[in-house]
Order: sequence, then C-alpha cells, then structure tokens
Amino acid sequence: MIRKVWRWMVIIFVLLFLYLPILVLAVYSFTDATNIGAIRGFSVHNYVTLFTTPELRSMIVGTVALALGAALIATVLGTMGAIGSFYSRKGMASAITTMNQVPVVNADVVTGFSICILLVVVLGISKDTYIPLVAGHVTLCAPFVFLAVIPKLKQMDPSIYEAALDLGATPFTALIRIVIPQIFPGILSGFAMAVTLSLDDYFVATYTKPATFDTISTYVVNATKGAQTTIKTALWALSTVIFLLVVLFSAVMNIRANKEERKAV
Amino acid sequence: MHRRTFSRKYLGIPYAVFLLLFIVAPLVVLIYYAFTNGQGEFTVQNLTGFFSDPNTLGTLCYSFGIAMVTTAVCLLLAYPLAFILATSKLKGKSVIVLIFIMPMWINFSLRITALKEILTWLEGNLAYHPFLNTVLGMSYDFLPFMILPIYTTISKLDGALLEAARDLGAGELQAFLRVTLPLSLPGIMSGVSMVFLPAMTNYVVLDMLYNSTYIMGSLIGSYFAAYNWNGGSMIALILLGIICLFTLLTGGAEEENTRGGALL
Amino acid sequence: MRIEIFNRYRSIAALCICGFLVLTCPVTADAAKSGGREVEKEVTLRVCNWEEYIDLGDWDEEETIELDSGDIIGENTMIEDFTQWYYETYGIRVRVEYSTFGTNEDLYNMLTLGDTYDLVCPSEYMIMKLMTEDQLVPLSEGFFDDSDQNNYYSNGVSPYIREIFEKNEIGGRPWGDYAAGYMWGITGIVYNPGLVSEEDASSWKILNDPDYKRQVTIKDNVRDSYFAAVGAIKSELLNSEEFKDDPDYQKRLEEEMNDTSRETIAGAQEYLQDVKNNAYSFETDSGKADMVTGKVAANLQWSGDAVYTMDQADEDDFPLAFAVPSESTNIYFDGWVMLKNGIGEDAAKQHAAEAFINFNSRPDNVIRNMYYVGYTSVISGGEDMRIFEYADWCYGAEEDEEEVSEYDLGYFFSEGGEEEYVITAPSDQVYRQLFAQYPTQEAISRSSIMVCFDEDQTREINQMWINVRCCNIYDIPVWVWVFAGASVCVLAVFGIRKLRR
Repeated sequence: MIRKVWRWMVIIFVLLFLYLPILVLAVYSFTDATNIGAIRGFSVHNYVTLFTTPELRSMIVGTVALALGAALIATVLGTMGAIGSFYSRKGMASAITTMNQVPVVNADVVTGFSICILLVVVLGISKDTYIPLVAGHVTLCAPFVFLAVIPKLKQMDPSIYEAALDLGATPFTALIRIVIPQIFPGILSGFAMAVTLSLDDYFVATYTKPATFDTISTYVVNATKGAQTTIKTALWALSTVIFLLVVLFSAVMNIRANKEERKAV
Repeated sequence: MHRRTFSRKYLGIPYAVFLLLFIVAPLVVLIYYAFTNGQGEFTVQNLTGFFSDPNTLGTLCYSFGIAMVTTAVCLLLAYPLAFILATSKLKGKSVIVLIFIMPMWINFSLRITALKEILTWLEGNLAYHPFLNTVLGMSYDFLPFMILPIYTTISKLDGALLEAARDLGAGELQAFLRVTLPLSLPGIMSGVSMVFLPAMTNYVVLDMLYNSTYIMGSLIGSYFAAYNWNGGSMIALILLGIICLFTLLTGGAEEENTRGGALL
Repeated sequence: MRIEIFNRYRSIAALCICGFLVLTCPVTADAAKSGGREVEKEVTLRVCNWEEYIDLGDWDEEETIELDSGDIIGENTMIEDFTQWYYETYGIRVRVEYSTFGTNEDLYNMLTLGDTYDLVCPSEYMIMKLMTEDQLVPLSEGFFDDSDQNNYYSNGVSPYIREIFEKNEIGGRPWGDYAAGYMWGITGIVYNPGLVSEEDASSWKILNDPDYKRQVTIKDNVRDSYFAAVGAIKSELLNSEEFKDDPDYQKRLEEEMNDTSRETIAGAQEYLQDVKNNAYSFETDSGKADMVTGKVAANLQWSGDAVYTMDQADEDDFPLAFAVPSESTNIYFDGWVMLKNGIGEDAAKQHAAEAFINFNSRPDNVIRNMYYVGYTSVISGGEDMRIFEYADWCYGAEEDEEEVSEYDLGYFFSEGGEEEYVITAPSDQVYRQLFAQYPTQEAISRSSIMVCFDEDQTREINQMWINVRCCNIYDIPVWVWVFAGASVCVLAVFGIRKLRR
C-alpha cells in the first residue's frame, strides 16, 4: 500500500497549509507587533481592544444574531419543504428540487445581487428594515437545509408512521412525534450548515445590509483597506478567538460522540 | 373520524412559495433587466455587447483561468488527503476529518487576512505575482469545501468492489484507476461545483491580495455601483448559463451526496 | 432509541434558541427604552461621512495639544461630545446615527439605493451633482447670522474659502447656499526621498514609470485616477511656457483637466492600463500604511492623508516628503450638505444638522479633527487665534533651529486686517507636512477643481474605468491558448471514451 510515511506527509502538509496562517496570526495576536516579522513583546492588548471597542462588540453580536436568526428561519422552512416535497406528487417534488438547486450552485454574488434588485430596486423595500438582509441569508441557507433533510427522509422507515396513524394518532401528532425525531440528525446538520454559511457570507450581506450594520466579513474587508493598525491587530485577536471556539466546539462534539460509542458497546 | 385533512404534502407549500418569491422572481427580474436597455425597451445589446467587447471576454477568460487553476490545485491537494483519510484505519478518524473541515467555520475574510500576512512575509511585495497569489488565496479559502464531498464519497464506497478487483488480478494502481477513481467521480464533481463558480466570482480575495484585474464578480460589483442594472443582470445570467452548462455536462447526478449532510 | 437522540439534541436546540434570544435582547431592550423616552423629544440625525474623517476620541495623555490659550484633548468621540453640547445648549436630545463611505460614487450609490441620510459630506463635484439634481436643502438664514455665538461656521470660516464657495456656482446658485465646508486640500505625491528624486515625484508620470515598478500606488476611484491620467498624458502641454503664461491660465487649466473628449478618454485608458501593470495596488486607505512601512516608494495622495502618513512615518524616524506635480493638481473641498429626502420639512432635524456643522466648526473641535485626521479644515477661526496657534505649535521651529524659513499663511487666515500670519518653520517643512497642510499660493495657482460630469460623460469614464481593470482578451499570451486547447482535447477524448462504454 502507500507507505505510512507518505500518508502522514500528505496529511501533515495539507494540515500545515490550512492552519499555518491562522496559527501564526494567533501567535502574533498575543504580541505587541503591528506586522508579521517583528515581535516586540508579549501583550494581550489586542484582546482588550477587541472586547472593549463597542464597534467591534456590536459587530460580533450582530453577526451571530443574524446567523442564528436566519438559520432558524431557514431550518424551519427547509425542513417543511423537504417533508412536503418528499410526500408530494412527482411533478411538484421535482419542481421544488430544481428550484432548490439554484442557490446551491449559484455564486453568492449573483444571489445577493438578484435579491437586492428584486427587493430594493423593484419593490423599493428599504434596507433599513433588515428585510432584504434576512431574506438574502435565508435564501442562501434554506436550500442547504433542504438538501440535508431529504436523505434522512429517504432513509426513514415509513411503516412506523403508518403504524402510528393506525393506532389512532392524528397526522399532525404523528408528524411531530414520529417523523421529526427520525430525521432530526438531518435537521441538525442542516442548521449547522446554515449557520456556517451565514457566518461566512460576504456578498449577500454587502448588497442587502443597512448602512449602520456590519457583519464580521464586511467589517474585516473594509478594515483591511484602512490604515488603523489597532483595529487590524484586534481582528487578529478575533480570528484567534473564533478559532479557539471552533476547536472547543469540535472537541466537545467529539467527546460526546465517543461517549455514545462507548455506551453502545 | 378526521382523515387526512392535514396531509404532509401541504407542508411543502410555504417552502414552494418562498422559493417562488426569492428564487424564481429574482430570476425573472434578472432576465427582464438583462434583455432591456435603460429605457425599458427590449434589446439583445447587452448579450452581444458582452461577447464582442474584448475586455469583457478577456475578463471571462481570466476568471476561467483562475477558476480552473484553483480547482486543479484544490483537487491535487484534496483528493490524496481524502483518499488517505477515507481508507485509513486510524482511530478517531472523524476527529481528524473534523480538523480539516474546521477552517470552514472561521470567516473567510479573517483567513485571507492571515494568508496575506504570511505571503507578505514570504514574498515582500505581493504585487509582483498577482495571479499566483490569487490562486493561492482561493485554494486556501475553498480547500475544505473540496475535501468534504470527496471524503464522504470514498468512505461510502463498498470495500467489496476493491477486493473483487484484487481477486481478479488487478494491481494496486489498476484497482485504483479503474475502480476507486471512477466511483469517486460524483464526489469530485460535487467538490468541483462548490469551488469553480465561487472562484470565478469571489473578488474580495483579489482585492485583499492586491490583484487589480477584474473577474466576473467584480464586473457585477462595478455595474452595480454604476447602477447599471442591465449590464449587471446580463453578467449574472451568463454566470447562471455557465452553471447550467456545467450541470448538464456532469449529468447532475450527485445530489445524493453530501453537500449538506455530512457535517455531524 | 431515536427518540432518545432527539431528546438529547433537544437541549442543544433549546440552547441555540435561548442564545439567540439573549443576543437580541439588547436590541429589543434598546427599542423599548427609546419607546419609553417618548416623554423627552428626541431628534435622530443620520450622518454619513468619509471613513476615518472625524475625531474618535480616546487620546493618550501625551497627545494633549498644549497651546497658549489652553490645552486640547479628545477624550470622547466627537459624536458623544456633540450630543452632550446640543442638550446643554438647546435642551433637546439628539441621537446621531453615524455611518461612513469610501468614495463619492459609493455615497451616491447608497443614496440611489434608498439609504436615507440627513447630513452627508461629499466632495465638491458630488455636491454640484446633488445640487443639479435638486436633492439638497439650502442652509437656513439663521445659519449665516454672525451675531449668534453658536454659529461657529459662519463666524470662523476662512475668508479665502468663503470666497471660493460664493464665487463658484452651478445652475446659477453658489455652493455656499447649500454647502458648508469641512476639509479641503490638494492632491499630490507622497514619496520616500531616499528612493525617489524630487524631480520624479513632481510629475504625474511617475505612476507608470518603470523605474518604480510595483512601488507606486494609485487611488481606487475613477475621478482621482482620471485626473492623474489626464495630467500625465497632457504633461507636455501643461508644462509648456506658453500655457503657463496664458492670461486665462486658470480657466484653461480647468478645461484641460476636466476634458472628456474621446481621444482624451482613450489616451487615459491606455495610460491607466500601463499603470495597472506598474502599480502596487489601487487603494483608498491602505496606501498610508504601505508608505509608512516602506512597502511602496510613492503614493498618489490627498494632502490630508499625506500629513497623516508623514506624521506616522516620523514616529518611526522615516522621513517622507510631499510633492505637487508641476502639471496640475486637484484642489478639493469636502463639505456638509443636507439631503431633502432625509430632512424634508422637519425643522428640528435641520436645526440639529446645522448645529452639528457648527459644533465641528468650533475652533477646539476643529483642532481635534485636524489632529486626528490630518486634513486641513476650512475654518480659520476668525477672531479666535487658536487654529493658527495650532499650526504654529505643529510646525513652528524650535528656538535653536538653525535652518528656518518664513511661511506665510496670510492668504488663509487673514481677514484683511493688520495681523501677521507667518510661521517660522524648519526649512524642510516647506516640502513636508506644513506644505501639505497649508499649500503655498504657488501650488494652489496650478490647481483645478473637478467639474461634475453629466450622465453621458459619467457613463463614458465609468466604461473606461471598467476597461482599464478588465483583462483584455488580446493580452492573453499565446501559450495559454495552446495549453487550454490541449486540455480541452484531452478532456473531450476522455469524455467520449466514457460515453462510448
């Protein structure tokens, strides 16, 4: 087989490629430096700036609130759509699936641009109402929730639902207590995907956001064009914080998964 | 007794309405703007103008170039890695996979900032190699999106097929080329479709890495800034046309796969 | 078993929803609070200004400006101070929503797309454009009342600037009726005297000079770059003796620099395409940092940013200089204007907007803004000498300085009276910060404003700008086509073989 050495080299190389910049930034965020290459001394002033500047704080809170809110709406819509489409006639189902594919394969720029044209230019809805922004993000995320739930629906055992109905449950109760729990992992992974997409998005936000609102992406892109070095280094701190949070989250998920495995054994 | 007044298929209606409102309607508006001029009269000038102007054609080619090279680089890095991960018998494999997917959760603008600092330190003056830096930046951004689908596809492969091939006398390389590779093609296609079009339109990476050339996304941005909805819509439609072409060519057969479902 | 998994994940889902509610709590609480404050009338003022263009406070102790008339320090942001001052002076609570824009075109775009603002600060050509489109509210009569002590603008604006605002008209109406100046300056080249000679830096042609390949930056907006390009391609004409001696020099210069004929636009496009291959980047704000860190050798800059850059570089013991091209330079005025679709008929908003302008025109605030941003204010202070003192404090020579020159600022500060406004400054300041902050008469004499272009002209130069930035298909080298063709063939062969199977 491919020798062990080669395997590990590939893994390590790609790992380095992916993480070196983030780790370097993490190291430099704890120093006094304003550019990579010259360490002046250990300092946590970047983190202080990050957590005390009201601008940065409101920006982070706004981004997270938007992501969670849009992901919630997208999950509800996408799940309903997946269930509905799965049980519909072939024609309706394929229509929904085709329409659903469009934002998935489309570029963010085009999605954002088209939502902006429709809502702001043609319908004249003001960006200050946050409607274009939320609508844009939901449009971006809901199709992915749809795609995440459908496989679980296909894997589901249909006879349990029938059995529940036969035992006297109303269709609605059966839906809530039988179908949803079975597809729940799909819903959860769709939600996670929706949050990821919303947090990472730049283009839809640029075209639809109100002027005084900033998400992390729009803020960073504008800040890196500017000259303020304190903000630049505070952003290094931000990236390190997010990185640590993500590591923590994955570690927690992994420990839970291991516990389940061990329980199953 | 009430029977089926509530049918599950009615659940699909709100979503269908949503899709109509926010996906079909904007598309219609785009088509409207793309084929009219500023005064609302029908014209194909936008389309013919695009294909007769050497600058816009050049932009299309440049975007293609960047997208192709980026996709190639991502494939070259992702495929071996996904293959090794999927076929290895390491314990805690899912953790390692998670480690490779995690960068997706850190905002891309922060990651590109990090990469820019490293590249500046390495190269000194970023402006000397705009194309190279752009490809590096894009690959860095999109690599996790390529790893995930390929990994999922390969890990779902039936090991029996490979064993059968080996029983029938195939060598390592042959078994790989004739069994694994073709069967992993849906995953590759899925990964490519997640990388190719964003690579053609993500102009933020170019801006941040000091590449001043326009790509398709920047054209949309600049038409938008000049409130030239007609030009911008035409570019958007052309991009959509490219995706349609691409989906048709690859048979669109990989929906079962992974796009959303393999995170948890 | 699946129900168990559901139950376990139910807690995660609940956690997420709770988190979401907690995060949006401050927002709703804020809304509730302002709803409860209906008892006190609150005026909302939406302001949109250039990025990094107002004092954001938070100065260090050591940054205190110690003038003879008193110390000046910026503790809070200008917005907070304004809110407090407004309440103390007029007894009305005002809430300022402050946003920023990067270029005039961005601002116009935001306005077209339905962002409403009350008070914005565009450059002169955009002010003219808004005036022709009848989007502005004229300044009220009370604004020009000199007897009102709070009308800092009217009492303090430099007579030089006031004259310019009254002399320049568009559509029969002078700028001064609608706009109150904020900052002004000229454009020029910031350069590293160690790497670039003064001669090279004194011409727009430095931008496509291959000696400085990838060492120069240019602005990422079409008007500034077009101005520089026109200056470069017409360099011979503009530098010629007979052009400079022409009695109608000012008028002809303005015509030449704002020329939008086909040939000029085509020439500018070619020139800018060369610049694209020669420049380090198209920047709006990052050029300052790049100059200070030594990444680039020369920078097309507005004078205010030049002052800021040179100050920052001085902190690192890295002397930079500022040159004004011999062909021409652009003199710009950024001014406050009030928008009709924001203010409408609301007298309270107009009052708040004009008060905002006045507050920023109070001499101590002028000094705060000038210090923080680096640009030059249009305010001279009138009777109040503090602004001149500030200039002296910044640039005046020490007692023991040997090489000094006299720098006359009378044209700006003087009200026609007896006072002398001369600063004795170190000699090198003549081509450094002082020069950038208050340009000499000589530099101003070869300056031209940017005229506002009509729709056709705007469309043509926008198209030119897109053409410059796009990759031209004829520029793609042959080997790329060969390679692409070969790859397509290979893929086609594979595809056909697969299909045939």
